[in-house]
Amino acid sequence: MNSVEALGLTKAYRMGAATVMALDGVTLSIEEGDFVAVVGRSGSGKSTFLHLVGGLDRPSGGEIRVKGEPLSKKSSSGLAAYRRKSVGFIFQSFNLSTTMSAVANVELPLLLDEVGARERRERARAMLASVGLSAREDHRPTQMSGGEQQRVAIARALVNRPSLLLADEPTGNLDSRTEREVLDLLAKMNADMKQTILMVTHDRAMADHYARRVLEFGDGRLVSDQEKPR
Amino acid sequence: MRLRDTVRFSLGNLRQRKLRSFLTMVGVAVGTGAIVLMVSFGVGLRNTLVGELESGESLLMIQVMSINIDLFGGGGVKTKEKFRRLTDEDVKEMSAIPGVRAAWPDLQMQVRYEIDKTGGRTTVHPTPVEAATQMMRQALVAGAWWDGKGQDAIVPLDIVRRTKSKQTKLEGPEEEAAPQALTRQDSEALIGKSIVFLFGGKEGGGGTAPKDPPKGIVVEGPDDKGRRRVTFRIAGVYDEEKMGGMAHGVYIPLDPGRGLRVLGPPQWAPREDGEVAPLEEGEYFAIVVKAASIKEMPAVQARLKELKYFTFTVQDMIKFVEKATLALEAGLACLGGIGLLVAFFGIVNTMVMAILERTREIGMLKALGARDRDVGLVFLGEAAAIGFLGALGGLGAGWGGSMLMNVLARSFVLKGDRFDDTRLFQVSPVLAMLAIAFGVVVACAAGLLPAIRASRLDPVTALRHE
Repeated sequence: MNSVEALGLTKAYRMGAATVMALDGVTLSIEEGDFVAVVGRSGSGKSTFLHLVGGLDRPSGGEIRVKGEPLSKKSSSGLAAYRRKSVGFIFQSFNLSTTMSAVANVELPLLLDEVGARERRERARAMLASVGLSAREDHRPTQMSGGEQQRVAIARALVNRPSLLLADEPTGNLDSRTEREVLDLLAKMNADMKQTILMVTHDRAMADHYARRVLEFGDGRLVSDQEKPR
Repeated sequence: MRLRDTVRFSLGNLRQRKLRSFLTMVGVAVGTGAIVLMVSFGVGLRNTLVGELESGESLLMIQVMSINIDLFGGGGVKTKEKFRRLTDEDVKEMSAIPGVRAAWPDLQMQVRYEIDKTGGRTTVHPTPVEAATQMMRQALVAGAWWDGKGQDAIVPLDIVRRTKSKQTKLEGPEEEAAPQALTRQDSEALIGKSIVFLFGGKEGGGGTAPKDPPKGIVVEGPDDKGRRRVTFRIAGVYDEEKMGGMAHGVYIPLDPGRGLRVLGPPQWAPREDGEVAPLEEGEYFAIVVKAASIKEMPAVQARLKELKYFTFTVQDMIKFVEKATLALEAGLACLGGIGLLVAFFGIVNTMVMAILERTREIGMLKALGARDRDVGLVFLGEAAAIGFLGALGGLGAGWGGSMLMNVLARSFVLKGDRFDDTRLFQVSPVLAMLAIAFGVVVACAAGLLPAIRASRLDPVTALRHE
């Protein structure tokens, strides 16, 4: 079954008087449980695509279906519920709350989803353990290395058991050794928990190495689509 | 997000920026404190004034006037007539109204008096013996109430005090005697002594010698200073505090009072046509009606109005005081409100800054699935918490301030035993709750627009915010 389907997806931005087409008719589908990398230069539309799939933004035209359900039908709070329950985000700059401990950060999606305090804490701890950060539960992000912070962010993205994990340049702020650690972790999670992973990167070599399928965007269009055999 | 988590989130955010949150709260506290202090003065003033007026005996009294005073709202009769001469016929008519204990012409007058070699100025209240109620009789600390037949007087403790301190001042403004301890013997020593009221002459007031000598009283003089002297026997001494709000002064029977009036300066009152003219014998400026009990009051008052008399009661006065102090309170609250208005903009500023600083965090929360409502409520919660804690502080400060003001007022303005229980500033529970509620409401109002702005932030733009 397809996890994500994009049908003639367009996104136009107004830049002063000019209209820029960030996405210009993208049609593709992604299988459930797949590890897909989206590559392309900056401005190619790859991040815009990720935001549309994640329900952070709405397309100017076309349609996205997630497990067959069109996102355009959802209200603002419907989209929020979709992000809360079905999507996990990982950002280049981690976007952790610096005023909260690691475990509190991981709890956030559960808190937003009105899960009780005790269950929240238990699930967040288990998730931190599975990314190897049990010992750092009560540390604040500012007391952690970049790799550790991104692992906290991954735990946060996965704690709600989403079906879709969206990563926007997840290793952009990391050195090459931690980069490998984080990507190995993503690959392991993909293998263990069977989420569909959609990862935006500008690093083609890394994409080829880790992802099963690599989509290349250029000027808002899908220019190549390569798959490794399963 | 659950309400509990929203509150915790909001408080957590406040704790992150302790100094700024605290300073914003101080703004709210100053505003709320000013309101509390100012309104507490209004409330205290009203309660003090009403408390002074609202004493048992005085609530039974109706003053019937020759002038229709509608100034106090509801005091007068709503007719075109503005004036009405009051005569002995009217006294008779009023006495006959069911529920009336007594009705008598208001003959009270300012006079000078002498006891032995001491003296001063006082007010004489000619009163019928039926008007002396149980309460008035029980206010006596020495002697007994007169039977209304002779030239007898009941004097207040103040006169005992002045006599004891050998006050002889007959000239100049009336002064309260210096406070000093009085014993029962001091009062009893005066019983049976003479109190002399002085009329005419330089010192005796503006009275001129009457054409006809007054009937029913013994008048001596004129003496070497041109004064006429009327001697009364002191029959009793009463404690002013126990008179239930009745006027202080010397109580004498009604009939000798009529005679005294002839000796005093002529009284003037408006006639029906509005022309002011001297009162003839048997005409009065006012008539006092005393109801048999508080229950009879409404009926008696209604009947008097039916008969087109212009009445005025302590209740009317209380109504007026309440109206006036309510206006005062509103004015004072507005003054205090200026502080809260300033605090309002302080909160707006704090919230706008907080949202600017936390734009990325708002984007992150939305990416994690926070609804617009969740984000808005977190910020509204922060504003509400600032308002609540600030108002709480302000209430404490205002309450403390009002206590201090009471102490200061008693030590510098309201001296004497009489004011021991007087609190000019009163923070009632209602005022306290209103102050807190007002602080929270103002803070929420201040936080509303910033919160809406935060809730509507576009997550993609917010996440890119540096």
